Amino acid sequence: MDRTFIPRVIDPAAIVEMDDGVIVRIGDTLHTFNSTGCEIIELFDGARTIGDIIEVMVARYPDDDQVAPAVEAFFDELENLNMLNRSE
Amino acid sequence: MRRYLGIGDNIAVLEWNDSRLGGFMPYLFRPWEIDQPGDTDVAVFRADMNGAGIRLDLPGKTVACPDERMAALELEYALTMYAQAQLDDHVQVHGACFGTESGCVLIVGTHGIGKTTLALSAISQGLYALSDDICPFDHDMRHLLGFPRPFKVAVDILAMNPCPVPVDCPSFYATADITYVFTHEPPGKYCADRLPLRHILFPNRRPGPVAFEQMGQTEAMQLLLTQGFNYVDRDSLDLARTLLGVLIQAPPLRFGYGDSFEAADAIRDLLT
Repeated sequence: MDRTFIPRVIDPAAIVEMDDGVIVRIGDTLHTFNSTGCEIIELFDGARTIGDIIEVMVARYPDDDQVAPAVEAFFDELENLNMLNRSE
Repeated sequence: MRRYLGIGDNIAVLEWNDSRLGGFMPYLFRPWEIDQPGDTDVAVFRADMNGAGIRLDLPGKTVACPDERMAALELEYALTMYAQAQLDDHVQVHGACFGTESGCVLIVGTHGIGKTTLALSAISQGLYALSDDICPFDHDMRHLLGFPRPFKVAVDILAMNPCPVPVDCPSFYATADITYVFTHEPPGKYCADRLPLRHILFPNRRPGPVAFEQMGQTEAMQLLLTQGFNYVDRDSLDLARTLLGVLIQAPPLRFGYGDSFEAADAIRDLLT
């Protein structure tokens, strides 16, 4: 996982927020994310790298030593689904 | 013999020339029957019985059927497709829908999980059927409309003891997998035209007592899109936005049950 990768901002018009997650339209497909995934996606601002995002999440949940691997796994999943678009 | 059906903004006419077709022709989509319209275009569904079998003249095609059973299958399919197309401006969910005067539930689940059996069990317990398989929302997205397609019941359901099919509903045997049960007959007894949606239920068949469990919107939305809609619609963000409003006003519940009659009883209590 290239932690210098900067994920592109997701168009708010492509998002439907729910009480415990979010649906995102990427390409022709809808993808569903739980509240943690939603929190990570909200950090896509076109400037933060994956490494920055991991640091933010770790800082939010300092008592949870699984945060960093979980966030990395999330990005791996996005990459496997061809959903990671680099910011211009 | 002739009947007119008002479906959406359009009209279909069913015509048949032989009383031997009376086992199904008079019952097909009867709740939608209207008086003879004035001078207006109608879609014609005609069955002519002759020495060689039954000739069906349907919109866009002609079908030769060897017997009444094949004719019933072809006619029901053609009418259902026509009706769905006329209601194309309504959101239509794959599921089963039934309820009481106070409201209805929409059962959404995979093929074979028992939606039809549950709906029939509910009818035999005194609840109203709206539809099985095709459940159209009204334009307000708060009510579900009756879609009076006959229930397609397999022989294993008919063989259940007790059988969930009401004895006074007309039926027509087509194949081992399909006996048409006209749950909208007698008129008004087992069916309703329109009811407010109170809950969306996602069934989980397992032994034991009936249990309802709250669900989050994310899981419910995912199941609703994948199990309630086709491959095209399930990737529609506009549909997801519309359905979110439905999930807010009709809370989704996970619904575990073993016996369909007990389940129907529990659903009636849920709607009280």
